[in-house]
Amino acid sequence: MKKRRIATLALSTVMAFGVAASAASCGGGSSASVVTLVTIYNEPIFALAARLYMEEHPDKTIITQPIPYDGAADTLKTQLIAEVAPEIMLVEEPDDFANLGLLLDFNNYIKGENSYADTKNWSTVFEDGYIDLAKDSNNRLNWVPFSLYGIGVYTNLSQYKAAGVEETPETLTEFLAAGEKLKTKGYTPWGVSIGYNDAQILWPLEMMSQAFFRSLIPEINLLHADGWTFDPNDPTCIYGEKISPEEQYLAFKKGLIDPVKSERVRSMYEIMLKMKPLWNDDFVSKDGNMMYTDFPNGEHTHFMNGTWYLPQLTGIFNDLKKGGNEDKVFEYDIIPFPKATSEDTQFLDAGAMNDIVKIRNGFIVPNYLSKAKTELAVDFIKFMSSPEVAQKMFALKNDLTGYPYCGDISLLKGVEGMEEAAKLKPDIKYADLVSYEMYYDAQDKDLFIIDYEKLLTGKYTMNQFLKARSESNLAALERNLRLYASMIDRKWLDEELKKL
Amino acid sequence: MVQTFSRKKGVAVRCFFRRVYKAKFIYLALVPTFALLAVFCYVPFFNAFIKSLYDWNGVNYLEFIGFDNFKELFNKDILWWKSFRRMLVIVVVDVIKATVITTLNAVLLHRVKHARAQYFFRIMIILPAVIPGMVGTLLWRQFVADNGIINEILGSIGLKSMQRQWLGDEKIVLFALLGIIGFPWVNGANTLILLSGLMNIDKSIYDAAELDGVSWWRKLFQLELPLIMPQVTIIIFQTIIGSIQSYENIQVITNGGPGSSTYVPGLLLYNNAFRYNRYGYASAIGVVMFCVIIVFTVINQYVTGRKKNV
Repeated sequence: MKKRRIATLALSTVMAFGVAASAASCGGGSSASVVTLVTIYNEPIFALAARLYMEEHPDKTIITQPIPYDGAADTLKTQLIAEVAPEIMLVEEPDDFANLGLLLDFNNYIKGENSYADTKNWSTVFEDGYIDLAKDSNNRLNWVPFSLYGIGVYTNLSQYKAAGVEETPETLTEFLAAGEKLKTKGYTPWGVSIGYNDAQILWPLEMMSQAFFRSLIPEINLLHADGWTFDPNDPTCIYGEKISPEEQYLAFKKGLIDPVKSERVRSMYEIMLKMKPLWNDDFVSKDGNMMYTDFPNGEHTHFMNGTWYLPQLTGIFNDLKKGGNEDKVFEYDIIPFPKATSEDTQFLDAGAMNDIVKIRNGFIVPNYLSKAKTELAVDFIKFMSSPEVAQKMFALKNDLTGYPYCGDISLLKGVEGMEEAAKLKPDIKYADLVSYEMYYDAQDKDLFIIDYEKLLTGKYTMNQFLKARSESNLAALERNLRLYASMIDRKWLDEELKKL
Repeated sequence: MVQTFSRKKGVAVRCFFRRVYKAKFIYLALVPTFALLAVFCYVPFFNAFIKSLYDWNGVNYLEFIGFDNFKELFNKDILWWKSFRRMLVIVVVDVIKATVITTLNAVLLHRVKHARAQYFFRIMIILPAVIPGMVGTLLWRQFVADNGIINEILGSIGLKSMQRQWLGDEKIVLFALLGIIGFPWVNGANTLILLSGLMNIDKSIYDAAELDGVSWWRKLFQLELPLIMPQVTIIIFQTIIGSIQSYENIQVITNGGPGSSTYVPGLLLYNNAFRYNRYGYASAIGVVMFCVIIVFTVINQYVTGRKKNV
């Protein structure tokens, strides 16, 4: 009797495990006609695309699933490694995922047909050059880009008027002069937080580093494509080119991008120090997230931010109007970040500073899916990149704010985003290829913020700061050589290092 | 002789198994607990020791590097020694906060003779424990901001000169953090642990003290404190472990800044593991923190043990 009871218990346990395991493996997505799209924001616009797709293909199912932005990359990487990742993932940085070697190469599809866009060559639906820009240093297309972001300076025109600033500043000198006028009237010209969560301290440096190091690109980009030549006045000449970890390491060892040895690096930070008087006094302790509400509250005249801020800002102003606080709504404009000139530096030797316009996000697909699943995933991405569908996605409005969910700039020809976003898509006049970076991995970034705070608060002299950066940069570059050992050309690097 | 020994051993083994068999349901009931502990605690714990000897990105890169992680930690990591010293300061302050105020509260509660009043105070002292600590932390971050309530109050009572960038000044930020984390430093659970210790003191001892005319303070220091020392030891032990491991409040309030002035080893460990993907190095930090906890525990046991003997 006892034995029978034990046997029954064991059998039911095994059955329970079996049912659970099969349920887990089936889920909603084991069928070849079902794929899941995971999004890190703006889920409603992708849900709309899924609905439209399923109307055209009633036998297919597209599930859209939002996941929190914070930590999304780690979650998805873990799922990729375990081979349980969603079939389509909207991500911002494909390189992190590509390093795992588990992503589909879209080169096999991008030159093929896209019937939804009525074209024999899918790549033609995208703005020129962006498919090349989306490729990695090994010429793999790990993602299909979806939208662009631009960075500009949100400017309080009411405060400009009150302070007598009549012309929009275009150069740093003009920006500083406008800042002085604003300060005299009691305004804080530029709201900044130097902590880890405000990229305003990084974007001006990024723009400067691209311009100041442009003339060195031929000396740094040594592992280029056959026949590649560099023309600083041709932004398209760098398409398909990337500075690899071994090129960066060699450039550092040559002293080209070593903060201690490079006068160009020093010049960048000296310019930032000149701008410090424009900032709020509490720039060290201020939480970067507060900046988003401080600007509409009129606490600062300028706030440097991206396209994604537009829906939020318009939403805040709308709420103020609805609440009868129209007097608190001010006129604003989005202006390009003022540029450094020869007055500020001698290193604009291959053109001026470009504005920042970059690919914001795109779709990745795992390379281990069944053929049928891969085809369905790619087909749905093709559907979303057809101008007709994309236009509907970009135009979809949030009922609460009355403004579109997506403030980004469309990467697809003929698709219009928010009207104001066009201001954040200026022409790119010069070729930019990132060579000197403020930091080369996450650890280096944290140390950069620590060192930068010390420089800006007078705890470090410029020389101490540059020495600390040099040590931290080198350690990060060495870590990258180890991390990407399987992808780098070690033999070439060793030979080049011997020549030094 | 050998035969006798092996026979004795055989009997002991049989006895052991017989005893286990007799209590088989108790042992079986303990199996799930220890199986889960093994899977989720012991294995990762020992794994961390092993992984501390590797350069491991947590995904696809694993290389044995011996003690290089420890060498880097002690010799090259510019944040380690500063954060370690800071951790010692935090441990000392936390222990003071956890024992002095709690003990005082427990003694005062114990001296409330009215049973209902004492019950009421016991409830009131444990009540804040239901509010998540992070809520308090986030509120305090707002209070000590430059335009926060603290500076506003100082300004409104004519103490403008005392207004500070509490979280922006490297010289004072640690003190600001020590002040605001866990404020008003009343730990309900610890108070009740000490109170239970006080309630267990035999009434005859108090009666004898009364007869001898012992003062309030003498009663506290020479009677009550020595008798609740086991409870105090537990609280000190728990506080030390908690302080060494804690980083979440600092992460939320300052994230180690300004500069590196509020970095602690726990935050360093977290960043290395989950932000820099340096799991091997983070494991090495964890191993060192474990050793520090062991050292503190031994010291604590030694000191309190000596006190007991005295």
